[in-house]
Amino acid sequence: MKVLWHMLGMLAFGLIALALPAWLGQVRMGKPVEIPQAVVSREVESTGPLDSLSIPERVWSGLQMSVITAERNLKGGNRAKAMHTLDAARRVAAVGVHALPSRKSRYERVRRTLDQARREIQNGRPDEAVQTLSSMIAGWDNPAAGRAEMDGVKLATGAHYTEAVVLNVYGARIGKVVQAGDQRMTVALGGVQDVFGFLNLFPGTRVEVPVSQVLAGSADRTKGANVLLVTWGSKR
Amino acid sequence: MEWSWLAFLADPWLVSVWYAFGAVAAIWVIYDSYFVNVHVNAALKWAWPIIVLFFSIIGFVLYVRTCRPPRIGRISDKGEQAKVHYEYVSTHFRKVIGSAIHGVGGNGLGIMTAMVIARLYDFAFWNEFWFEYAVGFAFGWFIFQYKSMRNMTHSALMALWMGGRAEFFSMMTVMAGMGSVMVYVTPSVVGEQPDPTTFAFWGFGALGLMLGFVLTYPMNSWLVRIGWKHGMA
Repeated sequence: MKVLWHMLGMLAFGLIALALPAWLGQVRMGKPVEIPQAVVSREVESTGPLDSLSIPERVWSGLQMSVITAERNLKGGNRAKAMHTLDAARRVAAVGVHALPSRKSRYERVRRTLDQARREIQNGRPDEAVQTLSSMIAGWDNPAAGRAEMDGVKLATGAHYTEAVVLNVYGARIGKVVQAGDQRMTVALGGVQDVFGFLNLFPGTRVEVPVSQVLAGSADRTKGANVLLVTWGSKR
Repeated sequence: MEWSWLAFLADPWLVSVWYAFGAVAAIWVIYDSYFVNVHVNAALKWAWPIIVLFFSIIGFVLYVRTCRPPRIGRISDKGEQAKVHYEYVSTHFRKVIGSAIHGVGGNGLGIMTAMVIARLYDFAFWNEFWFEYAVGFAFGWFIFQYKSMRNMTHSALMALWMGGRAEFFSMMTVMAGMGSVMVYVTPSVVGEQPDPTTFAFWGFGALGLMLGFVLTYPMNSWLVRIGWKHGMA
């Protein structure tokens, strides 16, 4: 009997310990990407009202704003925010490569540059990472460069996107796909989801969205399936 | 909480010196445990060099202060040497350190191996976490715990059972530490899941194992108290 109590005690202690990364994962992964008003205004100046943009334009604008925010935060020494936004931008670039074939090379270039900036930071050279990002941003002066039509855009159709992580245009993780179909998709926004990668404890707000608003990201379960919901909302 | 002060863990000089010292010290520990401090138990002879490699100066100090009686090399009589070693490592603190060392040594080797593979294949975070858990658990159980428990029983199956139950509880706390660093601290400082070709990977990997060691200490203390693990003795 005494052994059983010891086992239960140790099990409880072990589970409480394991709750630490689970909780930190929720805090970290559910964090919104905060785009400063100055960056949004700059984008509106060059593109016009954001809600009037086509889907490829929205994705490109979201990516640009995330990268500019990351660079500013890195320059300003706000490392945590910079890395969070840089990782988010990388997720958008990856979806862009996958879902926007007419602009694939552009997104691949961005992804390579973001990877380079990350590597520089991860090898102790954050100043070089700022330069890498600044050079890329400087090449974005022409707003028309991002324009693309809907031709060839891959939408997240099919049941294999059920359980995929939902991103917004900044790359923030805002929820999970509850049910995927060919026309409509049910997504759960917010809540406590994906704990340890498989537990959905509190589903959050369920929203039905037309698949025409959802770009196909990776469908690979091991690498992490995701879709990009074309929304500016950055709250999880 | 702001973690950017940990950016030094991606510094090439610091990480290189950290691991270079760790490698040299690990070689010295292998020599010492086989030729001088020979009564270190078999599983710990494997685990200490791994710990010293990753924990560097901290691992070296732990070895010298908890597993190596002072002036052990000057005692020529084998029986006397065994007695001195046994008495030295028999305090609860040192027993638990030994228990945690061979737990984290096995788990750590498995976790770091799995982490390299997962990063090369671009695993999503939680997939990587569970993959590391499984590989770390397997390394810890089938190599280190089994080897250690084999000294306690004549039956291989019984050793496997005893090793498995100790590993089950110990691994939860090791992975709690490692996972916390992986999921929160590393992304806050250098971004999510750095590649094994970067200094940050190795710097933060060592930090994760050290936090795992700290968190598994109380669990190992419990396991030693109820006789499920025997630590250094």
